[in-house]
Amino acid sequence: MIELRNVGLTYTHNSIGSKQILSNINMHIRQGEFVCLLGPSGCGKTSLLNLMAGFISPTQGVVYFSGRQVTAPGPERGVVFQEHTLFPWLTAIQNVAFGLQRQGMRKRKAQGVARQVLEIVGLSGCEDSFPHTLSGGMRQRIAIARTLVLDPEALLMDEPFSALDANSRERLQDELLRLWSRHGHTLVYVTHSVEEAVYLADRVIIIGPEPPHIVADMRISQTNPRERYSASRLDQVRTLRACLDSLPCCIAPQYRQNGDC
Amino acid sequence: MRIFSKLKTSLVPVLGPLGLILAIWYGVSFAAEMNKGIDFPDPLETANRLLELLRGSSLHDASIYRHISASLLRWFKGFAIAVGGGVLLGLGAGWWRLMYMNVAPLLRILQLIPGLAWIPVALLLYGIGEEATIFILAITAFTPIAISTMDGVRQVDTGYIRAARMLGTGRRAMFMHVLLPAALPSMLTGLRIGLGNGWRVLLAAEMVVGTGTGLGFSIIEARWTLDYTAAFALIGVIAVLGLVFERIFFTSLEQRTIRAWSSGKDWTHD
Repeated sequence: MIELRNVGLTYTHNSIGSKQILSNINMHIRQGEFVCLLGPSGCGKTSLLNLMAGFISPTQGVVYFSGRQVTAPGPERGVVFQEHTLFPWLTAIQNVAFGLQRQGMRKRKAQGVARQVLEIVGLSGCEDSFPHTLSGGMRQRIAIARTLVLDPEALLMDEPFSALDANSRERLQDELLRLWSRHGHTLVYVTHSVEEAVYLADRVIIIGPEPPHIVADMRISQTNPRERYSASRLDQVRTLRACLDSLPCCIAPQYRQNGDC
Repeated sequence: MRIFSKLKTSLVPVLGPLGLILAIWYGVSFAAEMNKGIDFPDPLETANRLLELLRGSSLHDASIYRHISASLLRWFKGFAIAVGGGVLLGLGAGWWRLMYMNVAPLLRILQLIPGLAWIPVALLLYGIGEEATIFILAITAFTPIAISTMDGVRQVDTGYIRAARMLGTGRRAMFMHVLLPAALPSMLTGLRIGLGNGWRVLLAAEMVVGTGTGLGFSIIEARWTLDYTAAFALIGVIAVLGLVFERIFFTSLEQRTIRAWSSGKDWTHD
């Protein structure tokens, strides 16, 4: 489904020189898998996601999606960002309908579909609210809805719930699992939380820094439905944490690639 | 009591400045008449002359309404050209880096040229008259609009652009549905400056290259007929018109756009 072959990423900046973000990454994510990318901040996991999304291009190697090389972002790979990327000048329903209208659907029809998807994410009644009037959790539901409405094959999520309070985070995690079990999207989820990764994913890939590489790639055995607190989950959390703790932390933040996306 | 305090909050910002203006005006008028012995129009004389004019008394072979509408029409034409050109250029220069590198320095230089310095250029290109005035207005209003649009587009959050591309937005839709609304708060500043600068330079240009009609033309003509009272009345008309348009145009535009989208804070940078 999503395949990375010998992918490397080096940012060059005139004044600072160049910095290697990723090198020689090989990864294969299968259809319908729920994969968490876990690692300390600055280890390049967001860059990996941006490569899969097509926001940036690798400086070495190739990224494939469904057998085709990724060169640009597209609606078959829905991206949910950490925060603040809903269009503030559009209401909830207009935000969700935005993608459909860009695919050429008429406004009225697009809003009809958007209304249904908003209902699926539990936001009936908020159709005409502007994003700034809604809570962080509601905004992330809209962000999920606007990707779902385009019927994507994969969802790429970059710490989508990390800015939320603990309560909303857990509820949204459960709703994400419910959506995933119903639709079976391929899901790539970036997080720095071990607990979150163990609770959500079928498979956890740990990325470590200096040089950035895949440290571990483990399957998580999941019960159905998942249990948030169980003895086996605690074991898994312990194993993963031990793995993470062996990595150096406090990496200098990577600088943004200016203007280029 | 409550009615009184309500009146106070709504009337003071209007009556206060008005009273101040009238007081200074009377003072200057009185001092000029005492010291130099000239007939300096005071507010009352000016108001009477304005009433006369409004009742249809002719001024330089045309009614005051004709002068007002002539100026407003030129303002509208010039401003429309400035908005069209400025927004298009600003969007392009904000988006394409190569265009920015070439255009931005030009705009910053243009910004330093006072509107009336274009008079020789306007005269050479169009001669005295309508087109010359509109040209001067348009080029004056164009610069702040183009700059604020360009800067606005450059400051658009990468997140919006990425999100839009991920949702399958093509290039034209990117300009129309993402860059334009996202840059609007910055653009409004430029539009406001452009509108005001344009209005001022228009009247000044009418004084120099105007023909037959217009508020600026009438004021300068009043010199020859020694009708200073009428000139003062026209200055009042100019101020009131500028204020009214600024209020009507921008307050409604702002309320319908950025104030509805945000709780008053500048959301492009949050």
